[in-house]
Amino acid sequence: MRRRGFFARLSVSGMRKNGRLYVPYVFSFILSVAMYFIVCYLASGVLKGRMGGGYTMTTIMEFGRLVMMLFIAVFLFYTHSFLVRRRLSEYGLYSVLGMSRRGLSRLALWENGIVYGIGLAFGLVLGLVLTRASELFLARMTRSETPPILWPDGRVFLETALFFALVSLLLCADTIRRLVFKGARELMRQKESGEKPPKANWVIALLGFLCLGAGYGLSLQARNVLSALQSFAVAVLFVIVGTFLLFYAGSVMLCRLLKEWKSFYYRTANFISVSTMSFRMQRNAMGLASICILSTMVLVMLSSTLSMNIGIDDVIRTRYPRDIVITTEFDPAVGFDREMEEKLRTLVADHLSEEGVSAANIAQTEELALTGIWHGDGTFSLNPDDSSLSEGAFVIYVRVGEGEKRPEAGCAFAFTLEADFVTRTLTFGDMTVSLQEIPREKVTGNIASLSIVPTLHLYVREEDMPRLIQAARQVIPEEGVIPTWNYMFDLPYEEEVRRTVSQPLREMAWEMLRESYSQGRYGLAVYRGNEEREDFYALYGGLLYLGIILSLIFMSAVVLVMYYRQVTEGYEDRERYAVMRRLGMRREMIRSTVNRQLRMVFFAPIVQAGLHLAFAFPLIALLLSSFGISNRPLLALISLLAFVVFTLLYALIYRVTGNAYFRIVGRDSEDTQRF
Amino acid sequence: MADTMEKTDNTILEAKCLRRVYTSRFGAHPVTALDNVSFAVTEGEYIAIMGESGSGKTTLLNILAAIDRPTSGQVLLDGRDMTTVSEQHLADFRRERLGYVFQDFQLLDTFTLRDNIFLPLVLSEVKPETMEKRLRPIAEKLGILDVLGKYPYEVSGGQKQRAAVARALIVSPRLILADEPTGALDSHASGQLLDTFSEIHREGQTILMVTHSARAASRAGRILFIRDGRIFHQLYRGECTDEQLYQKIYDTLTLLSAGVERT
Ligand SMILES: Nc1ncnc2c1ncn2[C@@H]1O[C@H](COP(=O)(O)OP(=O)(O)OP(=O)(O)O)[C@@H](O)[C@H]1O
Ligand SMILES: [Mg+2]
Repeated sequence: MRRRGFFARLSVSGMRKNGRLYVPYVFSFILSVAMYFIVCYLASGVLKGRMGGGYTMTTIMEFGRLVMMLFIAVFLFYTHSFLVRRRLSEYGLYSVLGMSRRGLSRLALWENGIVYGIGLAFGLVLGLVLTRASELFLARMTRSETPPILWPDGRVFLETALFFALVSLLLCADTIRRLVFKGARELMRQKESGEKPPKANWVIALLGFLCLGAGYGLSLQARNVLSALQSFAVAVLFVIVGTFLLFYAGSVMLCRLLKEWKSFYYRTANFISVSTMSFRMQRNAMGLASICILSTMVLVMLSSTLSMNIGIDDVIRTRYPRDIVITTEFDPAVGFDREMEEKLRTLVADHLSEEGVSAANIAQTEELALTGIWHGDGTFSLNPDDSSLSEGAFVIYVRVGEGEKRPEAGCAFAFTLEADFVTRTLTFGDMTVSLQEIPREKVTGNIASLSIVPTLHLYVREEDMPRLIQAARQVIPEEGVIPTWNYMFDLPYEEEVRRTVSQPLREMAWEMLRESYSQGRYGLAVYRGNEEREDFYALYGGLLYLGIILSLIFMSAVVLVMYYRQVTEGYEDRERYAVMRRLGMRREMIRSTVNRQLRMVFFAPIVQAGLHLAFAFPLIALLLSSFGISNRPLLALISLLAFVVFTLLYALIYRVTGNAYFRIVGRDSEDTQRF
Repeated sequence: MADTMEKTDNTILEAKCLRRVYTSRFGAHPVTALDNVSFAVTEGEYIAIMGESGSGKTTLLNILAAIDRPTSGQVLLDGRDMTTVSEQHLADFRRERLGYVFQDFQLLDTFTLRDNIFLPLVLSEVKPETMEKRLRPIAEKLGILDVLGKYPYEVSGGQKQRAAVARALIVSPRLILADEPTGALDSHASGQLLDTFSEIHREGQTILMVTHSARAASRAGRILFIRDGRIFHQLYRGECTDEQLYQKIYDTLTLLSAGVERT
């Protein structure tokens, strides 16, 4: 009978011997625990009431928690598989030496248990420290006061511990599966020799191109937010599959071509790089493709969430141009009720003077909102039972155009973001308006609203407005025709004053509407900009925060994948370099060869990620426009910036991990020197 | 052949009082693999080194090839003390002047035989056309023309060995160091390889070959016997035929195993 603690000691010594592999793994485990803990904490409801937009934020974090669960599990599985692969021969040795499968399983259990213990302990501590930092960050994003310190609920700790326990158990099961289904002999043998370098496969390459093309095509084809939303997931899937296939077939073919190119191939640095690459291309390609995908995700998340937060004040300004906005919807049968507008204006003025305050920057707009189906031929209608999200769904905002925006009678100036919208005339029942496009700068108000439905902005003549309302009522049911009057003003006072002054307004205005209209459809809303703002800040800031957290996890995945690749290859190449040194290869030649080899594979994923980002741009821009972010040049700039910064960071990671490779390769050639 | 012990102007390589002590990391028992070994190699000589397993033959060859450094003593290659040359230059020396045929071939599994043979030339940045030109006659002589495109694991041990020889020959080295080149071969294949060695020797190539086989050694012009890290005897061909030399070697080996000291 073995002494107690045998397996514990064996696993500890095994992990220490493989410290080069385990240290980074444990670090990433700690990071995952910390990140998960924080998001768990933020989703646990602690933000409600402690921060502006706390409710919105909690919803976002709950969503973020689910996303993280998925990614952390995948990430840990992926990196863990590298680890196991490196250790298979060691397990094989134990097995040959007579350890039973049960013994091996116990060993695996111990190892995963130890990583879990260390990871959880340090991760929770790190998480606790970072929760505070996260709260401060979120408070900044929502422009709210620093919330008081709050100790996380025990449930948060428990939830984190349980989640990672589950993941660790699965990891352990994976290790055992790999051990049990392989014989000892197979475990010990794991050299890549004995197989030919893979053949170039045109079918796979073609398939990869097709997938990539399909994904890119979907992105380029998206015309409006609705179609963008529908094709996003499919496009992402195509691109991922395409990337893997292309990296696989492409790199094999590249190696083939490079080998044919004699004057390139027979150069010291290229010679060694190309020939070793062509052998491990399959594994290599998978690593590179995952690096590429992860990098693309980081880039997309960061550039879009950053753009949202940079553009947020514009969004709020267009949606709520003044401190207080009173929106009144009239019955389409009545149309714009000027009398009522006057009455409401007086009501507000009276109320304000009663409160002893005065309004500034008073403004008003009349806007007819039409919701219906736009048919390709320029007609517009809505069947009462058509859903509002069906194909061709459209919202038209009609305003009275003044000054240079005043069109001819029976005409309208038009603007839309929809690329597909090409029509000269628009027909509502018995009225036809001819359209004339105007540039975007001329359009005031909400160009891209927080709506996923395509939008058209029209400017018509004063006298055409009532006619249009009547004509529209013939083809669109009442609820699709909404004459809206916005009355807005600033209150240059403390936020507290704004709140107390504006609060009773809603009730008073309702009162008046109810008195005046005994029947029909009418509506009212009073918005206080800052109140709405908080929700925006919470939504956009929360998404940025999640973007950063997920990027951190993805980045550490990139680091680990690169690092493990370098270490694995380092061990494989060690003997090769030793032979070459014996044949008279200089030390600095090894250095330059290694650098060459790194650079060759360095550019591929990042260039491809850049390409992905470029092709995803139209899709992202469309999706962002549903968040009110329609400044494309800014988005492009931010994407470019994110790409540049990411490339630098990536280069740094590659240098550091490349050094790990060089240390392994270089050190052993020193050993063979036996000085 | 200049079978003389005196140093002449044609001395390619000279070992002076070589000593090599292996100390293991934990310093338990230092092993003296070489002890006061001195000898000279004249241009055009064909020397065989014989000795029991563990007697220090590979160690000696490694030191001569500047892969390993002696604990004390000197190695002069073309009059230049290799033990004081910087590591960078050693690599160049090794690549350009020496052809080493390793005991275990040391072919790289990711290269075809052709590329394996080209490796030292690639390291010296020779043009591809020149490499191809140099390869042809050598590959032809060694009979590996039709397997050049294959990977090491796809060919027989003998073919691997011949590729390793080709890799040593292709740099037109001043000196060929071969560590048991026939070790992995059957009698027919080793006969072929030895014929090749004899042929290139006739063309003026200097060869230093470690071998266990008296048959192989009998092709050489001089035989050094090593035991426990010392050269304890050497034989000169003189006017002997291969067969006579073989008999002499055989006798020496018998004496050797009988444990009789002769110096
Ligand atoms: N790297 C090393 N570290 C410690 N001792 C070594 C090392 N290499 C060789 N030795 C020892 O030095 C002695 C000589 O070894 P060497 O390899 O030179 O023998 P050899 O004559 O080539 O034997 P063989 O005919 O079996 O190849 C042996 O006792 C060996 O154990
Ligand atoms: Mg030996």
